[in-house]
Parts: sequence; C-alpha cells; structure tokens
Amino acid sequence: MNGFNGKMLFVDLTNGTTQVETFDEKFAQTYVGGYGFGARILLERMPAGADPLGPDSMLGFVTGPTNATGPLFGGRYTVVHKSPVTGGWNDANSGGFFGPELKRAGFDAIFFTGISEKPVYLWIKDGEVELRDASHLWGQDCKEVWETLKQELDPRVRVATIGSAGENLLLSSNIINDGHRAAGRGGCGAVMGSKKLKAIAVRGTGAIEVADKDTILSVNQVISSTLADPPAPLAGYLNGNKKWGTTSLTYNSALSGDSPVKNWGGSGIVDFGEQRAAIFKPEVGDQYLTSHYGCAQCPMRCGAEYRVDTGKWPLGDTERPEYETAAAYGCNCLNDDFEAVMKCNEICNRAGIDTITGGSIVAWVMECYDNGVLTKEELDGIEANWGNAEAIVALTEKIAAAEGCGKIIGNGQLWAANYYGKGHEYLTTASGIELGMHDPRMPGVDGYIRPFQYDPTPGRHVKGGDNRTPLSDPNRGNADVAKTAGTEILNTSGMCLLGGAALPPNATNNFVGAVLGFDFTPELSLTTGRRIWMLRHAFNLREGITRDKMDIAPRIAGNPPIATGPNAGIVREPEKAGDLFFEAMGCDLKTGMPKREVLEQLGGLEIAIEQLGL
Amino acid sequence: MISIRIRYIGFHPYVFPEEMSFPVGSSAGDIFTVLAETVGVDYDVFLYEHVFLLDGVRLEEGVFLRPESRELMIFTMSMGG
Repeated sequence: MNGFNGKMLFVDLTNGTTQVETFDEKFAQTYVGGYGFGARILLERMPAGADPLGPDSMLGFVTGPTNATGPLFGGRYTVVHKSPVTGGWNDANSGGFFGPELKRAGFDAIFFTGISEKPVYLWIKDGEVELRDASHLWGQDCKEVWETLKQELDPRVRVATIGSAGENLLLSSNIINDGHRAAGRGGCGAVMGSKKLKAIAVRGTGAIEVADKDTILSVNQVISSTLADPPAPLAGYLNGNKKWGTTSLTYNSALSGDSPVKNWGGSGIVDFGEQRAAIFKPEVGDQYLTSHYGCAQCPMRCGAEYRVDTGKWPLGDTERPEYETAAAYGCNCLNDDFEAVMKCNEICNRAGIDTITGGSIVAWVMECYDNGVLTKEELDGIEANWGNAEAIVALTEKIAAAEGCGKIIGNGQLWAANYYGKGHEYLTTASGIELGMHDPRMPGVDGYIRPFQYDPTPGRHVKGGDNRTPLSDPNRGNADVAKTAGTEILNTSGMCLLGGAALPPNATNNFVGAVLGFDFTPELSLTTGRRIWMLRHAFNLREGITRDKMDIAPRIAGNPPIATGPNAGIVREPEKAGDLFFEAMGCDLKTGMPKREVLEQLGGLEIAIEQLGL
Repeated sequence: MISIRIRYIGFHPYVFPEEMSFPVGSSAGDIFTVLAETVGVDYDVFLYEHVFLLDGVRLEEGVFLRPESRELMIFTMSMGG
C-alpha cells in the first residue's frame, strides 16, 4: 500500500508474545496516522476504566503518513495511552529519527499491553522482532541507554527509552528518543516504566511507497524556497528559528506577556525585568554552540548541540534548551541563570522528565515556599526562594533521583498538593496537568485558553484552535473547530508544527493525499480532523471525563487579573470559548457528549457510538 | 508635539526610529497608524502581531498620549515554540 507498511505490531509484555496485524488504505485515509490510529485502536481494545499503570493499559508508538515518505517537516511520531496524570486520553509526539526508522523497519505502529516480569526492551530490525532482557539497561539514563544499544546492536540504531523518572513511575516522566528528543507530556514515561519496558530499539532499511512523488517534490520545493529567502512577514520568525530554534523567541516572550512569569502570577517586564531577561537573548547561547541539529526530513534544523566546559555546571556535551524549557525553568521561576537552565535541561533529558512539567513544579514549589506553605524541612533542606538557581537545580535533581521530596513533587503540582494537603491555591494546572508556556492573558488573542481547558489532552500548546476571532463573532465556534481540525491533521500526519509558517496553503493535505494516493480535499480534511478529535474526546467521555469535569486554575484565565505589564487586567472567558467550540462540534454544552447524528455524519466513528452507548 | 522613545523587542526585521514625535492627545489608533506606516506593514497585521506598552501601561483603545508620556515598548507576540 502507499504511505505505510500496512502493519501494526501488538506486543503482550505479560506473556512475551507478539502479533502482527494489517490495515488497509481505507483505514489510513479515515484516521490518517499518529493519534488518529492510536485513538481508534485504544478506544476499541483498551477496557474502560483501566488503570493507566496496570496490565490492561495500552501504550502505542505510532507513525504518520509523512514519516519516511519524503515530505519536509514529516519526521514526528506519536506516543498514545491513557494518562496517569489526567486519567484521560494522552498523546505526545516527538521528532528526531525514531519514527521514520520504525517505519523503515517494517511497522507503522507498536502497541504494548501487559506487564513484563523483568525489565525488557524491544528490538526490531527490518521486520524481525525480539523482546530482550534489559536488566543491564535498567538504571541507565536515556543517553546511556542509546549509547549502550548502539554498541550492542547497530551503530545506527534509533532508541526510544525511559530514564529514572519513568522507572520510578513519576508522573512528570516522559519518553526520550535519539538521546534528547522528547515525547514529553502526560506521564508517558510512567506508563512505559509500569510495563517494565525500558526501551524500543529500531533499525530499518526498507522503503515506503508513495502514490504521487511529483506533488511531494513540488510542495517541498516551495517550502525550500520559502526557507531560503523568507518573505517579509515571515522573515524574522523563520530566520530566527533557522539560526536559534525556538530560543529565538525566549527573550521576547519573557517580556511581552507570552511567557508565564513567577508561576503565572507575575509580569515579565515588571517582576523579571529586561536586564534579567537579557540572559535569554538568543545570541547568549552562541558561545556554547558546537553544531546545529535537525530531525528527520527537516530543512529548518532548529535544534543545536552545545558544549559547556566551564561555570557552575560544566556539562560537557549537551543540547540547547528549547523555548518551553527555558521559560519553565527561567522566567516562570524568576531564574536568570542560563547555566542553571542548561543544567536542568540536561538532568531532564537524561532522567526522562518533561521539562514543562518539571519547571512548572519548581515554580509551584517556589510560590508555596515564598508564602510559607512549604518549608525548608519539607524540601529536604532546600531554600526554594524565587530565582534561586542552586535550589532549582537541586529540586530537579531530587525529582530525577526520585529521592526525598523529589518522590512527591515529581508527580506534578496537583499530586504534590494533594499529598501535602496544601498549596492548591497556587496550582497552575488544567485537569491536573501543567500548562505549555504560553499565557492566554496576552493581549489581542485568546491564546490557548480554550484548548488548555477543553482539548482532550488539556494544557497543551500544540493543540487547537482559533484564537484570533473574537468571542463575540458569530463565526468564532466554526473557526475554532476548523483550525482545530487542521491541527489534528498536521499532528497525525507526522508533520512538525514549528514548520507551519514555512508551509504553502494546504500543504499538509497535499502531502497526505500525495503519500496515500487519494484526493484529500480541504473539506475532507476538515471532516477527518473533526473525526480524530472526536475519537480522543470519546475516549475521555468513556472514562467519565465530561466537559464539566475539565477545569483550569483560575489565575490562568485572569481570575484575579494580573496587576501590571502587558497582560494587566485581562480576563479570559474559557467557558464562553468552550460553549462556542462544543456547539460548533455538535456536542452537549454541559457534558460535551456528541450527538449520535454528528458522529454518523463524520463517519468512521462506529466505535465511539458503540462505546458511548449513543 | 512630544517626543517618545521607541523600543522594539521582537523578531521581525522592523526598524523604528529611536524617538518619534506625536501630538499630545493622540489616540492609540493614531499611534498605531503611524507605527504601521513607518515599517510598511498593513495596520491590522501590525496590530495583531504586537503588544504595546506606554510607560508600562498597555496602549489600547481609549488610551491617549499625555504630556508626561516618555517611552513606548513594542513587543512581537510570539505564539508557539
């Protein structure tokens, strides 16, 4: 078939058995790939109410049609499972080379069930599959695991693994591939760790057929031309990303109201200040630069390798912290020590900790400490004053080691607040998960307030939705749905959101259609994107997560409003934005339950109709 | 007319003069119009892309330039990353 191998691998870790199942073109055209495939499979095969860390829990690694088929920016795969953080649907995607390599190794997706008696890893080489003992890898960090398996298996092997955080089932844990690319959110590392699955190693030399190479090449040429000489409105953004990656935004965002400051309670220009924010000017990091890094099929190469030989934390070879990391461990903690941010980034990459959650936990701890809610004794002697770089590193090290207070705070703000029985007033979470580093109170736009609260994966800056159309505009709901559907297609196709600015109109649809061999019109794309969103939403509804149970910390919407700076006085209306969105989606405004006829119109949702009893 | 210090923090290749003069009483819209013309960008696009602080207070509809106004900071809204 075009675009995929047409093969999914199912691994039962309890019994140590594997089974290959096939799928056809119709399945691919209906669910695209990534979490479209994932939600369809898990909704059907994972029992409702299953413990996310129990044997019935399923964990999937799913590629998209653009992986290993030529489209520029098409290098991302997706991890899918039930989140131990939110209790609902979770997907987290990652770049690097793992996804395309998995596909070239003969499988479009792997789904794990069960729990192994002892640590194992899965080794796939050109269609051959073997579960192997991972006793010697258990305890190794994410970079060590990759190096070990390169030596043992193949120098070109690609590895997705957990570190100490996943082994210790911390809810802030993630899955790291290629040494430092992260499927970051939702506690996926803990799910993998609960299965005693340390790593997946893949090596593939196969080729994937595509239906229409010429269209792929022609769209690629437009992207290449745009990147080589970006037109004026895009020049600053794209040239900045080419040179400095997402860190090209950090200084600007720390002051403009985009980045959260002081655990979402402050203002960058007032509480952090230009002088302290200046350490996040992108050129500051150039002194550490050794090379640029790009994921598979990426012409932008927004990553960078650093070397740090001096200072308080001489890390040696490391990676440039992404914007989200720099904001979470920087201005959100009032931290102006870039070396500390690099150190925390390295700790997280090695231990397999989500840096958004990690930095957000530290910011919450600091606000609790500042207000006398948490004490030095409760924090193992760490004086967690705002901006204390040594404390920020120490707390992150505690989490990585799952030691002392790290065992508690490493499970996230809400879990820690419930454990301590205090600090709930300082939570900055949505449905229990920490938020991406973009403040919806920024003037002019709603930002991510609606998807933060109401996406099936709450708290994400990579989901949804229209935020430009005012809530008073009668077209707002439809516009939000349309843009959400577009994001669903981009994510499930395996494309990278960061490359979006370089894409010509309709590029992702053209790529998907050209790879799979069908006319993927904008209308069909809208229907398909809505279908995929509805699958994820149905998974949550089946778990009892109705709309009225999806919450967000009041301060995120401006309750109470920020007093100073660009975001002063701004109050967002997530309930109204949610009403408009759910109405346009064809869902009940209180529960979010979709109407049966809406699912029938969208098609491909028989499983949702059945599971929701509609 | 008063002279206002202009500071731009953003990633677009826009170049603003270090100081610009505006009549006292200019509305936010008047100022945005001049700024958009200065860098040659459509008014709506320019407005959508940026956040403005006049002496630390958000410059928006209903705010007017006062004799004591001194500094205008312009930030590019950076969503994503």
